[in-house]
Amino acid sequence: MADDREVLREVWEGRLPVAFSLSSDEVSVMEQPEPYYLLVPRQSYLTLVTDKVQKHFKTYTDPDKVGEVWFEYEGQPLKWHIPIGVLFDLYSFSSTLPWKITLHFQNFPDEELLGCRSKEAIESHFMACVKEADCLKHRSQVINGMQKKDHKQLWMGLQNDKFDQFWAINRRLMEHTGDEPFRNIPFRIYQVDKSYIQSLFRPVTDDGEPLTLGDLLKENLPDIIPKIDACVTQVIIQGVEPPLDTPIQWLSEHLSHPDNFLHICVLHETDDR
Amino acid sequence: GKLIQSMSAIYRNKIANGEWRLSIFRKLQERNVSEVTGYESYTPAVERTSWVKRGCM
Repeated sequence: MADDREVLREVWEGRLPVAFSLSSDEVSVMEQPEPYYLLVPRQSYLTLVTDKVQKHFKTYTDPDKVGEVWFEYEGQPLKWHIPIGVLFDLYSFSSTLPWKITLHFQNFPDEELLGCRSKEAIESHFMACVKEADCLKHRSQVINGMQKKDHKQLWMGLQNDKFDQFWAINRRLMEHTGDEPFRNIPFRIYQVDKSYIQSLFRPVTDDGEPLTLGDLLKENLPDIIPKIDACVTQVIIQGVEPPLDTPIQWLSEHLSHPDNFLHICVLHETDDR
Repeated sequence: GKLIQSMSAIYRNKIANGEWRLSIFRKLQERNVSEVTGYESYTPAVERTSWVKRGCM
């Protein structure tokens, strides 16, 4: 199971400084309001941690035109259901901080973004991901063996940024019976302007040899390794570039997001970032 | 049983130790320093101070 607490702590402690601005064409007062500066957890979701920002900017826009809130970075609507750190790594990795995000109350792009009218929508999405991940890892045996209060504790741990509360339950989701590895690794590979890639991937060979991040990438993006070697492609997980020989089982246990998925960003030099 | 146990131990050791582990740990530490240093005055999105409200009926 995930027993390297030092690493788990560092992952959990990830924060990003963000300067939120209200879209200039939605300002209904004389002057553009100042940006609102916030330190946001990488592991969380935009719509979960921006109550203060939304409340602040609502006073500067026409109340009759206030609809569902959404966020945008340089013209790119940001999907609230993807963890904040993944959005940053995908669209803004290596860019100057603070991360500049524009907030909108009008013209919700419902063809690109899922609606998120309440915190319950985020909780439902989060739990659906945890359940899917456990289905891949343990055929749902761990999640189904938990009680409703355990599910709630996972969610509350994330929502309130409580590492111990979260990991007291999550450690069970990261266990494997009799030191058997996970059946499959829950992962998603993101690239700019492409749909994400998700497939079944076992963390060991038939002979029981551990497979690595490089093996997973080769199987899903066959021409990627020469590009990484030529430094025209970067692979980012949790804001860092892990060595390609890292066992994928260890990565899944330690660098997955709270939704139990390993979110892998593949950045190409040619991406318009 | 003993053979299985020792195979498990070898497997665990293989996936728990290696230069990659130190590399990742250091990069995470550097990430946390570089992304927060200079921005400590920003409002935390989630207040972590835990306190218990007590009242008497």
